[in-house]
Formats: sequence, C-alpha cells, structure tokens
Amino acid sequence: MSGVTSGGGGGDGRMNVKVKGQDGEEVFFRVKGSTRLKKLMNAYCDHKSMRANSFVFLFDGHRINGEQTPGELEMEEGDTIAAMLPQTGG
Amino acid sequence: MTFMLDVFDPATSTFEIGENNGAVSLGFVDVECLLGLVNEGFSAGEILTEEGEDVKHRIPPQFLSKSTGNIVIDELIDDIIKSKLADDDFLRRVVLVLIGTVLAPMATKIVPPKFYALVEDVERMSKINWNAFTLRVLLDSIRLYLYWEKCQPLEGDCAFNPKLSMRPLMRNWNEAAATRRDNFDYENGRGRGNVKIDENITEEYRLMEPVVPDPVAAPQNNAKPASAVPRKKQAPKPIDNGQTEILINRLTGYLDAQVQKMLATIPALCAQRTLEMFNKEGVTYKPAAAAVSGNMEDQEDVNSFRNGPRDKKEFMYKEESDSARGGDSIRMIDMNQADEFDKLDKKFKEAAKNGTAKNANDAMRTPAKGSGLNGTPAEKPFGDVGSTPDNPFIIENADPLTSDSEIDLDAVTISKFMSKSNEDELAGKRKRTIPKKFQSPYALDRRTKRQVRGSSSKALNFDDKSGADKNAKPDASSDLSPELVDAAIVFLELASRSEQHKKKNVYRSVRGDEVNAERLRVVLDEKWLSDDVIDGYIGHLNLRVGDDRFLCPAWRSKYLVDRANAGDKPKESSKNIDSAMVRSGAVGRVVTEYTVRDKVYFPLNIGNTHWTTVVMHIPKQEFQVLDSLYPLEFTLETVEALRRQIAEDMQVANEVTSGNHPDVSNWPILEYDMPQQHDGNSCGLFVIECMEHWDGDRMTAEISQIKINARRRRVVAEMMLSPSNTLEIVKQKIRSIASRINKKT
Repeated sequence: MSGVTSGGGGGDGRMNVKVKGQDGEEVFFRVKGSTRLKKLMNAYCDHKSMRANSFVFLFDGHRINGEQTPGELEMEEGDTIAAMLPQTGG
Repeated sequence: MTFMLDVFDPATSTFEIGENNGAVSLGFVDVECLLGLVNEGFSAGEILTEEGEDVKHRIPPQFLSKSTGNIVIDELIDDIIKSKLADDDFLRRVVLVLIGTVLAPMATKIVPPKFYALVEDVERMSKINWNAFTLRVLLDSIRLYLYWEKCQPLEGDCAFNPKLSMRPLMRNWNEAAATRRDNFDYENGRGRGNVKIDENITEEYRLMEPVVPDPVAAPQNNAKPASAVPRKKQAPKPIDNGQTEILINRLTGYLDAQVQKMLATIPALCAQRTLEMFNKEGVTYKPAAAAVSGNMEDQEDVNSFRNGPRDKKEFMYKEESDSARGGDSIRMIDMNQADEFDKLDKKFKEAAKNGTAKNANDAMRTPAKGSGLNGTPAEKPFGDVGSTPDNPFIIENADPLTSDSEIDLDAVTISKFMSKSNEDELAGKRKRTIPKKFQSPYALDRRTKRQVRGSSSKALNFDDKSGADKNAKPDASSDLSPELVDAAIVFLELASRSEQHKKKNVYRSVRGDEVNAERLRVVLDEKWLSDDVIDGYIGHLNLRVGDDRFLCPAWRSKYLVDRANAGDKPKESSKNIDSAMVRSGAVGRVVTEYTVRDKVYFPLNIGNTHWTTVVMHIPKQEFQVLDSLYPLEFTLETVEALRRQIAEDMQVANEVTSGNHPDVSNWPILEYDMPQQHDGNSCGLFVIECMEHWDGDRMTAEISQIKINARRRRVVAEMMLSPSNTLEIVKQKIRSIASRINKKT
C-alpha cells in the first residue's frame, strides 16, 4: 500500500500506526520499526488516563507483547492496533 | 480448653461454670457414664506405684519400637493387625492401645512405659479399676498443667527457689526465665535439672520465708540434679486468691510486674501451653534458635537489598496460618525482575549522559523528557484534541523510567504487614514451635519441599513462538507444599498491599499474558475476576490439561464477539489494511486455534458482568455452554455472536485455503448442567475449573463452591509458581520465603 517503509527486521524507518479503542476513537502514533511496542502501549494508556497494562492490544487478531516491535510484527504505515478494555465478571 | 482450665477448681475436682450454675463435677460416676467402666477392682495407681518404675526395664522387646525404644501406638496397631494369634501379647497390645488412645490419652505417639505394668499380668488386667485410672490420669493432667514446676537446677543462674514459686507456677514465667531454662536444658540435657518437690513445701512454708533466695536452705536440695529421677508433684493444695494477693505483694517489684503482665495474657497462653503440656512430664522448648545466618542468599541482590532492622528472634507456632511469620527471616522480597532490555536501556542512557557512547542508539537513548531528533517532547498530549496522522504521538523517545516489574519489599514493610495481620499478638509473648512429638499421633507429617518437587506433567507449548525451551522442565502439578502456598500468599499480599508494587507483574507467560499483583489478589479477596487472571491461569493450565483441548484466551473470545457484533466487514479493512491480511488472520485462527484439537474452550464474558465457559466440541458438532449461575437465555446472544464469528472465520479459511472446515453456524448451542456458584463472584474460578475438568461429556473432578473457595489460595500459588511463569524472580522470592518458613517450623 502506501507503505512509507516496510519496517522489517528492526529497521529504523518510521511509520504511523493508529490505536483504535472500543469507543471507536483512533489515536495515531509515529513509531520506529525497532521501538518496543511497550512504549506505545504505555503512551496510549497515559493518553486514556488509564494506568499501564489496562488494555489488551491486538494486532491482526493477535495479542501484542510489549517486548515486540512493529518490525517484528511486520506492521506497515497506517496499520491499526485494537485496544480492548479488560473484562471482568463474577 | 482455656475456659475449662480457668474454671477448674483443683480442690474439688469440679468445673465451676458460671456463678449461679453450681459446679460440674468430674468423678467416678461421670467416668462410668461416659465410658461405661465400673468403679471397682484393683487400684491401677497402686500397681503403678509398686511396679511402674521396675517394669520399665523389663518390657519385652516385641512391644518396643526398634528405633526409639518406646511403646509406639502406631506400631502396636500394626502388630495387632498382623497378629494371627489371640495370645497374651495380643491382649496386651490391645489394652496398651486402649490406654494410649482412650483411657489415658496422650498427645504423643507413645504409651508411657510405666503403663506396661498394668498389662503385664493378663489375668489381672480385667480386674483393674480402669474407671479410677482414667479419672486419675485426666485430673492429674490438669493439675500437672496448673502446678507442675518446671525442672530447675539447684545451682547456677536459674537455680530453683521454692520460695519464689507461686501457684500456678507455669504461668509466672517471663521470657527471660524461660530462656534461661531453655539454655540450661540445652547445655545439660533435658531432665537433668529436675528437682523433687516435696510435700513439705507448703503454703505456710512459702509464706513464712522472706523473698530472699536461699536455695541451699531449701529442703529438697538433697535431690541432686544429675541423678534425680523426674518426679512430679501431685496436686498441692490450691491457694485462694487472697493468699495469692499477699504473696504477690511480697514479691519484688520486678517479679510483680512480670506476674501481672503474664496474668493478663493467660487466656491465650493457656490454650497453647495446654496443648504442649498436657500429660507431659516437664516441658520441652525449642532451642533458642541460633542467630539467623540464612540471610546470605539475599546478599546477591546487592542493588536491591535493603537492610531492614534486624528483628528480634522469635519463636513460632506451627500453625498453618501463622507459618508465614518470622520477621527476621523474611527480610526482603525483591521482585526485581531481570528485565534485560530495561537494564540495557538504562546503561545506554548512562552512557549517553556521559557522552561516551556514540553509537547509533544514542539518538533514541537520550534521557527521558529530553527532546528527540525531531524535537518533539516525548509525551506531549496532542491527544487533547485528538491526534491526527499529521500530528501523531511521537513515542520513540518516551522512555519509561519505571520498570514495570520491580518489587522491593524490605523488612519494615513485611513486619508491618505481619503485625497487621496478627493483631492479637502482644509484644513479649512467647512463640514456640510445638515439637512433633507433642502433636497428635494422627497428625500427618508434612511433606518437604524436596519431596514435592517431583515433576508430573507434559509440556504443551503450542502457542509459543519463542521461549518454549524455558518450559523444558514442566512441573505444573498442583501439588505444592503448604509452605510454598503460604509463601506465595505472603508474597502476593505484600506486593498487593504496597502502592509501589501492586501494579507490578507477578506472572508473565511466554505468550505475553501478564497479571499484576493487584489483579491476582482478587482471587483471594473474592472479587470479580478479570480476564488477565483467567488468561494467565490458562497459560498455566496449558501445561496440565490433556491435548484434547485448546484453551482460548479470554481476549480472543471478546475479540470474536466484538467483530461479530460489529458486522462482517470490520472498519479497519476499509482503510489501509489489505483485506487479505484480515483474511489471513481468520485463517490463522482456524488453523492454530479452532481446529488443532477436538475441543476449544472459550472463557466468555457476558456484558462485562459474568464469565461462562463455551466449548466448541468438534467431534460432537455442538457448542456446549457451562454456566455456574445463569440459564442459557442470559448468555445465548453472546454465544451466538461467538459462533457466528467462528463460522465466518471457518468460511474464510475454506475460501482461502480450499480447506474443508465444517460450517459451525448451524451447530446447536447446548446447555450442560454443572455445579452452581453460591456467591456473586466466583464464576471466573468456575470457568477455570471447567476448563480443566470438563471433558466434553462430564466433569472429571468434583466442583463445588466449597472446593472453589478452598482452592483460591492454591490457584494463586500455582499460577505464580507455574513453569509457564517467565518471571523467575517471583518464583525465587517465593521459594526463599518458603525455605524460611520451613526453617522456622
């Protein structure tokens, strides 16, 4: 697509990705392909005024581990990460 | 027990319960009513007096334990069972067991050797007055507790001075005296310091004498410590309260204060001491434990080690709930997770600050809050007005200084916690370990940690992209020792109570499921369970359940339901994401999740208020719903959404891979009976149990609310100690707590 970079193999190319919450709001982030996604997650939690680890982040239906990088997940420009609030129940 | 002792009047052998109820007697008639033994026959007491001492040396070897030389009840029972002849020895054994367990019950596993005198003559056995025997033993036991003077040497620091001894003697000990006696016993051997207390130490004698210690003048110094045979004094006359008051007034101020203090704590002490003392000759103390030297292991963590104040040495009860105590031993819990990346990060940062590192990483390793290459402050909240692609968050320089999984708990924290949870414990009160021999003969020996550490399960690392090797030695058995469970609970409590640590992870699986202390604690607190706990436990269960099932994480079921409810074409496909990617995601789920096993278990959240289990049973072609609270109507809509999305995924997979996956959209949704919860919070735990024990047709283990509640502690411990937990530091800390608990008990 309009991929500015393919970001594979831990390259440093930047890309814009968005995190989409359950309320439909999209928040954009510019990340390097080699940045650990933990930073993105924390930034998103901050933005949402939630504490860290409050959300489950899914990319392409797979849960994202904070230690992974966009490069490893083969993210591309404009990709969407889904953020899900924790579920609870009794 | 304490109450019974308090109301016991030794003079009349009655229990005075209440002021107006009169006294409840304990006499021959009562024994006859209770045991059906007639009060007639030879006096057992006389037989014991005449033959008791001699007979100890001529007990035939078949009655004695080879290892200890005592008459051991358990071995007698074994012999009785094995014995094929109803000979005299058989009779003797039966009666000895009877004595040891019913007539003269002891808190030990042995029958006192002197009682062999009673059974030596088989003919006479049936003629002995067992009624009187039982009564006497029981009453003596109580009196023994009330009056028994601890063995004391005649010389040295803690020499015996009858003039200072008041009724009831045991109660008057202070910490210092008890410690001195302990030390004496350890130096000289137990029983060496016994003194004979003659009947001539009367109230009058004691009242008469001034408080000046004068052991030499004491008439009983003829009984030399080394040679004296332990003899107990039987029931001296009780002193009434008035006399006690007079005595107290005469004592030194120090002793007076001590007595008052001890009297205040009598009720609690009575119960404990009774357990230890009942029917025993003398008292055994644990050694005043040698100075703790076992803290060396902590020294490894130099960075995180904080020296808390060295607490005072303490004795401990062996009670399960208390076994986690011991402020001195658990000096620190450090959950300083070995996060190499973070460490690297910090190193780089240091280097960058010093201007020595000029490598390519410098740019992005500048200190937090500093400007990155593009000069945008790291965490400036563009999002206030909603960020756009032109104005995105730049997060590459957002360098979180806080490691999310570092827990340092020092001794202060721990002792605070300990004292909080043990408010009933007063300062200066003695804690003792109850020696094994004082425990019930039927008490099971605890298994040691080493015995428990057997491995017994298989590894099923199907979803692990990396780190599968870490699970090379799976030990997912639920068979944790009580110490480990205790230690895990202590660890979790400490972590979750601290503001600093409660958000730090105590569990992380290779798949990335993380659970922090606060969330895991809800299992103990009987609150609603969140999905990360369920997912974390699934990570542990994966090691344990058979390979007939795939356990889907909770976020997955939510993802599926959300997608189903959002419509077939999710929004994201309209933008940049190639629809092929969406499709490949579906194919991936079908291939790696839905169809790898016969059954797929989904923990399904209903309206963010309830958890239920849905099983996709492929051979039976049905969806099974196991709900611990609600009927199917309540959950049907959500389950249908789940089914719809699975069917959708299957369809996509069939299109893409030309596979032949079944169309599940028509599979029936069936409700299966399962045990119901009786509270409003344990449905998550029922889900966990279902995932483990539901085999598609029935439960393979009994599930109930009671069992669920009883398992809460264990669930928490299993999870943190699971081989699937990659936070080794957590496990280390728990084990080190457990080893101290072991040491203490």
